[in-house]
Amino acid sequence: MNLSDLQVLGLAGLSSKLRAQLVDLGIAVHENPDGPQWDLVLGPASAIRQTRQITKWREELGTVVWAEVDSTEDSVHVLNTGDVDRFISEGLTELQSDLLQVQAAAWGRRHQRRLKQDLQRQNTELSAMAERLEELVAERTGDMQRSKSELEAQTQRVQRLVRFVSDLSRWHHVDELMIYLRAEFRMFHELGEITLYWRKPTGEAELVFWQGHQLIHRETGPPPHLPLSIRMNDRVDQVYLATYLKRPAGRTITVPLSVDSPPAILFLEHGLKETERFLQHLQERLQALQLTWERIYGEQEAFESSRQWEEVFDTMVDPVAVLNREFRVVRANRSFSQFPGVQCHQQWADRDSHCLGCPLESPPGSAQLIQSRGRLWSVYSNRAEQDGASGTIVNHYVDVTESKRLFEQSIQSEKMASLGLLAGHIAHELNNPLTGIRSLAQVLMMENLPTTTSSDLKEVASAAERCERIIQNFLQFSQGESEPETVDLSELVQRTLPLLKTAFREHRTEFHWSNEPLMVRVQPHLLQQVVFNLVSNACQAMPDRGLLSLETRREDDVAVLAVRDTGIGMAKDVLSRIFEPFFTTKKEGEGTGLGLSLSQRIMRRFGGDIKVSSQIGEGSVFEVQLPIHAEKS
Amino acid sequence: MKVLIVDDEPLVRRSLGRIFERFGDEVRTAEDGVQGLEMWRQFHPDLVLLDVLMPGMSGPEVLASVGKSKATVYLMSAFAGETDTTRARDMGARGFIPKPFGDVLALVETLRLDTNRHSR
Repeated sequence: MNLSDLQVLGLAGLSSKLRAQLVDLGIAVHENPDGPQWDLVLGPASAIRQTRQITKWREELGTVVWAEVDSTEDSVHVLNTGDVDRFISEGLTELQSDLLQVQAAAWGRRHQRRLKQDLQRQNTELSAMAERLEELVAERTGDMQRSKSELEAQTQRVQRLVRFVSDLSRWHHVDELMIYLRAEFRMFHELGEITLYWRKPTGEAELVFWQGHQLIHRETGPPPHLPLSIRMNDRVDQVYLATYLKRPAGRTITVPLSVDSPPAILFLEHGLKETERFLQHLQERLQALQLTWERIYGEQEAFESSRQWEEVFDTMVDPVAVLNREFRVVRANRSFSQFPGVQCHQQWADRDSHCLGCPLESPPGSAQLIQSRGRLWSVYSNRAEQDGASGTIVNHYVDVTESKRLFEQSIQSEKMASLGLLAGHIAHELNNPLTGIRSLAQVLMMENLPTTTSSDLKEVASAAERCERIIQNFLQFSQGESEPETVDLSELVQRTLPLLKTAFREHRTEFHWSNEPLMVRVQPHLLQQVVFNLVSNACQAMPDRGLLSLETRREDDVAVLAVRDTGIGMAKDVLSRIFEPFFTTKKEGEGTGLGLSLSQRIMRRFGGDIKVSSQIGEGSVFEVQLPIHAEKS
Repeated sequence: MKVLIVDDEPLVRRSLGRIFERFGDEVRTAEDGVQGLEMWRQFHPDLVLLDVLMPGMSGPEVLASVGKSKATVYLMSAFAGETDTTRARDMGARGFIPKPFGDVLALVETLRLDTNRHSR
């Protein structure tokens, strides 16, 4: 096909330059639109747009409609832009005539058909796709609406759950939990009573249940078989509840509360028509509930063990105190007394400074003897091991008054026993020659002798007799096994005095004996010991020469012996304690501190007592009082 | 009356002896148990005053060793309570005299009377 065969329509306005080029190529450009089948329509864009037939051409020619582009006009209304572009850019002159011809022809027909098919297919596909899309959109929109309300519901559920869990964290006691659960489950109207079975840390099993608005705790029997998970309407559970609550039980939901701790079971009685919703509600909360139970139980256990410990601590008869370095009481048991923060010696011994022999000032672990509260204490002081740095000290006070007294007493009686033995020997050794002296003096007195010699011998005999009497008294005093006797108090005191002569030798003495006999029932040697004690004390209280006076008198039915000295006297605080065992103002080794307390015990055993009054610097008076023994007097 | 006094205390021997002699009695003394036993066997006394506690041989030992004797025996001791009349009789003595004697003249008179009555 020759290029000149191309049927070209040149629309009005086609540039003369292009027209000339076409002509040069041998192509005739026609100007009548109603001509033969055009292969190519050429014209300025504006013209093509205005031409009515352009649609028809376009349908028929496909790509071949071409617009000459002028600078002001924008585009070309053809489908196959690529070719036209080339057409334009390269210019007709540079197109090979045959290429142009082939191309134009091929385009025209091939592309027209394919395009039509493509378009149709694409259209169907597109509309199908659009349909699907619409469906999809509708579906999505529905979904979204639905899930929004679901989401809200779920959020609410979660919020309620969160509140439940956070509420649970506030409860520390079984009762609190029970009260809370009752309120919490109130939204399920048909839910009945809530009952809790649990085994307390102390080991007793307990049923906690509601009676009206009151929570009742009641000891209970062995638990029903433990649930591993929530179980419903268990016959055994119902019988168990009925047995211990003493009323018929309804339908039950049995919830295992404990996981690791001793058994705890929650019984929920109910009349729910439909349990599904409640069970779900419960199931959601079960783990939180169980965890809370474990915590509450743990707290209860801790509380219980600390309470038990405290009970033990307080039950101890021996006082125990935990002190810090400043002697302040951190904790103490009941026997010690309960004023934390106060210093131990203020609480313990009622004094402002440390006790004599304070164990805190000695190496730890040693025991010290301390006097307080009228008793003698062995105080064991130990540093708390785990608390070495802060210096916490545990003091343990053991009352050793009695054992110490017994010990001293046994020493005392041992002394007396050996003294008695010794006295026996001495008495024997002295009695023999004394017997001889006195007897011989008596024999000689019968001889015919000068008066002076005779009276000398009388003196010898009476001196020997005095010696014999002293020995007799000494024997009685030291042998310490005399039976209760009824004796004259004055006479007994006078019998004792010879033994005390060395004690009061340095002092002036005054004796006022009662005119009537003061018969008292005593073990004479013990009363002698008391007199001995009181007189030697009186003499020791007078470092300078003083006046010792002894007096016996009757006051109603009481025989009184008063031992008075003009010594140093005693202060009030000493006075109030002198009858305490082991209280002594004497230097170590000079007294056991037992004399007066023993004396008082002896007198009380005889139904009497010892009283004392004293003035600092003026002296003291001790009064022995004994009931007058009526029968023999 | 023949009197034997056995006591380790010379003043006791001397004083008792002087009083018995004043009554006209024949008195021998011994200063311990061994000597006393020997003298008892030779002297054949009517009355024996025997101290309990003596060096060598005690009064009761002498009493147990002496065998058959016509003598009335009294035990003497300064250990009050150590020997009483019942025990003294169990040992074959007539009685027990505690020391100190108190009125020694009265004692001797009593002993003489008792011995006379007893030996009759």
